[in-house]
Amino acid sequence: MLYPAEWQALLLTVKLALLSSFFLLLLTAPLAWWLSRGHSTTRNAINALLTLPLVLPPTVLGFYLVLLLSPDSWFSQLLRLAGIEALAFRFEGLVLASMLYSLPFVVQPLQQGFAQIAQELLDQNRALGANSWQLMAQLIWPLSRPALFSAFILSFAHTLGEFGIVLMIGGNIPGQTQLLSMLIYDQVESLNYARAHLLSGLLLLFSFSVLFWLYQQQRGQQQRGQQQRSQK
Amino acid sequence: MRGLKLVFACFIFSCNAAASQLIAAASDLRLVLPLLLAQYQAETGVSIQPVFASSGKLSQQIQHGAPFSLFLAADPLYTNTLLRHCSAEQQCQTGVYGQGQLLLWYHNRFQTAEQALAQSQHIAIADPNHAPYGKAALAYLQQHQLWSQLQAKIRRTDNAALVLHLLRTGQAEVGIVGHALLPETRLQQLLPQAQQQQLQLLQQLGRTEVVPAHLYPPIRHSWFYRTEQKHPEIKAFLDWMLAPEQQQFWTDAGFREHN
Repeated sequence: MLYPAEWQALLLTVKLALLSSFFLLLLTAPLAWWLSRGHSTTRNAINALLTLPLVLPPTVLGFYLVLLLSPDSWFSQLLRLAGIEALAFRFEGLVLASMLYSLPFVVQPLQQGFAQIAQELLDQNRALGANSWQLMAQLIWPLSRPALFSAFILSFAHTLGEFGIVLMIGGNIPGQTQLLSMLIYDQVESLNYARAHLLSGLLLLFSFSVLFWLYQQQRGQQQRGQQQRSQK
Repeated sequence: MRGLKLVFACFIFSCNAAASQLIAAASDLRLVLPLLLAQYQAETGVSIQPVFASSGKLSQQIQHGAPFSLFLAADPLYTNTLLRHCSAEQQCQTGVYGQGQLLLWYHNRFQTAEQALAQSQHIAIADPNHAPYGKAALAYLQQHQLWSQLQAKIRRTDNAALVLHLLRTGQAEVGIVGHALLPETRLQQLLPQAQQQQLQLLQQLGRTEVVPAHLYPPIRHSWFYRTEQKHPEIKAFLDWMLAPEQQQFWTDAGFREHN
């Protein structure tokens, strides 16, 4: 049903969404934890900075990223010293761009989830002799799982629908940076409406299925959490 | 679940598709260039993938590191700019390979092109800021006696190919496109069925007229090649597409003065 180029774009899209969401969770969780532990001018400034991709048009971020990732930029020269090629028009560049663009979609739910974990609860457990590792494994991790899940869902879904910024950074190169959203645009330009319909329907169905599955998982987790709490 | 995780892991850490031979091409070639590349593949077995956008956008992308060894632009302005930014070791070359033509398409509820221009609500052209066909179309409209009226009706698209989309979906009753987007029947018959149907529908919906060449600045199609990336297949393709044997193809695609 799908042509090889269409499979390629679909797999690349899912791969980008999974990778950028995974790295984003990994990198922003400690920051979100710190942000959730109080209010200060520094925290507010960082929060504002992290929320910027939500309010700025993708073209602003895209424009600065194009300049930053260009082969002649200081950033690319630094990368070259480390033996890494310039990231513009490469899949790795798309991962970086998607991570920046999806930042608020991960940090906000994480921060809210972490804020629900009361400081008193942590202090009481620490007073009872729990060390940091035990607090993390037995208290913070189980209580944070729904928030981590929500953050992953939002980041994944957001990346699936990306278009403008990845077009600016990636350049629509088949097999390397051409995502499903760009291929649909390509088909419309080529007057291939039948393929554009098929791919759009597929993306719609796929996005819905993934979101539905993840929400079901999240619900299951919440129910298990409630059961555990009531047993205790 | 373990199996599913394994599949995910394999697919995430697998390498991306092997870098294929890529060329960048102006959007007015969107329909016909794949035909030429298919012919080249049939003759030589070499597969080349085209990436389309407006000439201005592609030129920007190449300046910022996009991996194209060959760029087919619709204006030497862009290929010459790239040439100026070339280092000696890249051994960049450029040349002009043909002259494009403007076609005026208008809905068949209008009797003449003049009536269509005067009475239509919307006129679709590519964005003159980065699309050479849009620039030529704007120049043609600007010297028209009704320019003051026409100005407000202009609808700009991101590139030349999207003008057809606006016409096909009824969002504009008049459009100015490159001839290569509405090629001669011989080439149209080689297009995939879906594209043929859409072009036939457009032809049923409206009429086309070639805009006299003296009414707009020449649209000179140029190529830019750099040897830096060591793709001998691409240079071979460039030589092949410029050969006299391909003259008929470019004529059918609406090009003039191909040398």
